[in-house]
Amino acid sequence: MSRSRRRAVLIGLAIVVAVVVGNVVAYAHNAQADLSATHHFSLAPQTKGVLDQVKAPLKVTAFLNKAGAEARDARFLLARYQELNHHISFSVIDPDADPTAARRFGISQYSTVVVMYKGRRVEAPAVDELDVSTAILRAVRGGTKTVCVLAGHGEPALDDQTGAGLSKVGDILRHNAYDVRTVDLTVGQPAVPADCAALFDFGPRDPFGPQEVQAINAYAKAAGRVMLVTSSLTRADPNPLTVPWGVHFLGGLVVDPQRSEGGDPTNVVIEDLPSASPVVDGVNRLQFPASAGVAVDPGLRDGLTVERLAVTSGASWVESNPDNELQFDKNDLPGPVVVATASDDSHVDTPSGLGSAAGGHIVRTRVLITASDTWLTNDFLDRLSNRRFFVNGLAWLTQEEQLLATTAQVSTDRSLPLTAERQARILVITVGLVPGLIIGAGLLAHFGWRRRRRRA
Amino acid sequence: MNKTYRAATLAVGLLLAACGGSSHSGSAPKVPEVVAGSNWPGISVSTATASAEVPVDARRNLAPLLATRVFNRPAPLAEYGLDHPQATLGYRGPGGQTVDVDVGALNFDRHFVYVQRRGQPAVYLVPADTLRATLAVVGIDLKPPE
Repeated sequence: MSRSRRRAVLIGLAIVVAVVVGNVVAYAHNAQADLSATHHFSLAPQTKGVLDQVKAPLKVTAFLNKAGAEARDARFLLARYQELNHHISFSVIDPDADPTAARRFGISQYSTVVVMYKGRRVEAPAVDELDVSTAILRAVRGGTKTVCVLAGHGEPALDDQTGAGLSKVGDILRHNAYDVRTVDLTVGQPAVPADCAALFDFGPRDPFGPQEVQAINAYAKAAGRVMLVTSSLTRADPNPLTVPWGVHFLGGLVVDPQRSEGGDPTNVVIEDLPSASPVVDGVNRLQFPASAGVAVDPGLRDGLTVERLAVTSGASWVESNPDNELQFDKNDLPGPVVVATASDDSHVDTPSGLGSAAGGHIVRTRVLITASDTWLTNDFLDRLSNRRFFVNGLAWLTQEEQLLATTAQVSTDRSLPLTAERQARILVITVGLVPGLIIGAGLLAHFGWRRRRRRA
Repeated sequence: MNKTYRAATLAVGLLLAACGGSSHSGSAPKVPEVVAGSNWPGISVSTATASAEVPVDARRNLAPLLATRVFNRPAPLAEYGLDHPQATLGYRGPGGQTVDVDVGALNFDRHFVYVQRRGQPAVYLVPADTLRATLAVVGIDLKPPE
């Protein structure tokens, strides 16, 4: 055998070995990449955070018609959960083919999902990422927390789906396994129920009664968690509720010609988020329309800390007379203006009559205040990082590690708007280029044929 | 030329057949029939204790008897209530032929009823509304969905 032939045989053998080894390695390792523009085939980061909390075997059972496309999609989705956490197993059961299993699980509707974790059972109404993740969150948490929402002062409703409503906030609360209770302190003996994990007041317009203020402050002092979302549009004076937590409501209207949107200097965009608070984790910018200003008390008592969460630019000011003009004058407060704060008050509660040496427990109050309420409405919640800010605030108040901010169900409808530029391009291609190429090819063939004929 | 023409014709024919085949496979699946045909002169319904002729206006639902799903390899019949059927539909043809259909339990969401043609392995799901009036004749009350 010549040298060159031997080399050829060796190269051939090397290629065969490389292919075999490559196949063996590929067979043993699975890897995939989601190249879709919207990451349609990947789970949301919030879901991954929820799955990190699953530390014991968790079984997901989906009841679906096995022959349908829904079952195929469910298997695909649930396999993604299993890939992220090997404590998770799943099965898809056809309740018509296996009625005994349906009876055993007490299923009475198609598309029901049952999550079992540490002996707890939680149902989801549909096999989509948001519903399954919510069910897993409920199962991991082991119980639901009740959050109370104040009513009676003209606050928008959580089921109001208009632009000025709060239905998106209601959805977030529901998807994060909170029971929502409406509390109206304007009727009867005002008292905030003790089982409220947090108390929210989303955009009060009318003044609080003295007894209401007393009830809210009593709740807050007893390790309460309060989110007060107020604004320049309110007729209520929030100070009796904010001052105990080191924050003064300044009122007025924040004007920021430098950082605002749509040519409206009161539609403020906030880029300064100076604190290290978890409330601003992953928050880049906020949009706070019609915001008032707040000021942090310079002399805070021991145990009370106040974080300046959101601050407007140096070119902004608090307009004291917004009904007449939006020009800075001597009556206005110069910026930067604080528009959101987080107060954390911790003190040791000792049994009465005994000294601190007698022990006791730490009482922690948390109060989140924003000086705009429009940012939370349906029209604005999905602007910039507003939604993230709310979910972080919710988690911080109720001390939950991971909450779901959004659905991962992205729209598959990727529209291609027919702009004037595109219309012109289509016209050139369809009317000019394509017919031109056909005619040109025909002419070339014709003249070529004539030339050959002449030569002949 | 003739050969080329024939080859081209064959190729076009094969292409059309392939297109026809694919469009056929993409069409909606045929509705499973438990009992075919509408010309059954007599249909009766019976239980262990009662028997009655199905009224003429109710027969339209039963002939043909159409199913929404079919399980060709079903679980043990006890799972579907077909080990002890709650009723039997008896079809009598003009030539004296008979077909018996056993009626089992309601499915999990009570929208459908399991039935089986006697002597055949397949189990079918039939809309409960199809059988409700007929079974009421022999005193069986199919509970409506929640």
